[in-house]
Amino acid sequence: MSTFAELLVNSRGRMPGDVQAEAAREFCCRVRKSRLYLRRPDEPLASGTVVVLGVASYSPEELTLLDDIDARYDHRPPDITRVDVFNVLDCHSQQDFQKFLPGSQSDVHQTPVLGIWIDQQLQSIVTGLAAVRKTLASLGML
Amino acid sequence: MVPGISSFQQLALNLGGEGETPDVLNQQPTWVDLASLASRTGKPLGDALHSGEAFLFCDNRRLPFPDTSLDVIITNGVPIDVNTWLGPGVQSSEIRRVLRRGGEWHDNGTLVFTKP
Repeated sequence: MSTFAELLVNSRGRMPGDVQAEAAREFCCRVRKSRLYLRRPDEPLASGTVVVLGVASYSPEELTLLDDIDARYDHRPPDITRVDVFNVLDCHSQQDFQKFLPGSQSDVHQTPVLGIWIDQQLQSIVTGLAAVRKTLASLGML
Repeated sequence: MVPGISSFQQLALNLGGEGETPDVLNQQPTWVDLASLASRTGKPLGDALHSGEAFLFCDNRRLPFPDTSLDVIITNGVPIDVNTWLGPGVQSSEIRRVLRRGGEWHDNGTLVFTKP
């Protein structure tokens, strides 16, 4: 497996739920093989500009987004210290998102969810694929 | 018309549909927030609804269709057989129940199940 999107490739005729379950299990390993940082709940944010992205491991489009970010990671703006990612399936309630997105008060109704911090101060939260891609592009990350 | 499906008149349901597939009924779970939720294309679901797209809002655990009544089920990037922070995702048991014999389940553009 060389890309995030390949986590959901159904090459053995399995049922979609089984493919998604395996993708969720493999998600952490795949992040560790990338240049992105696997965010843990309640983990302190790094200093500087930090981008945190929560994606649904069951969404091919959101996994492709991670591939796109990873491919351009070395060309990201120098002020962006780190890109943290997590699987939204690790959140079992709205409150759980606050463990990954410190300071966020808004409920998450759609994915992906993107947060931007500068020196641990929350700047903005964006949700939905179109809005997140637009924001990442404006940051020079896509 | 669903790409790859030959029958012209078909009862097709897009579970988690956002109006991105023409001529199908789009289902959304009961937790959907029309005020804030935009489709993957950036078009708010409320706009899609008001522009005439057909939407069905119902619990994923019990689709309001009789057994063996639908020709095609479509799923694109939705959680299947898993509970999310918002509630239960799409249930494959419900898909199997409502599909007629010979009915097809297409997941992310691929035929994954034909009901025997």
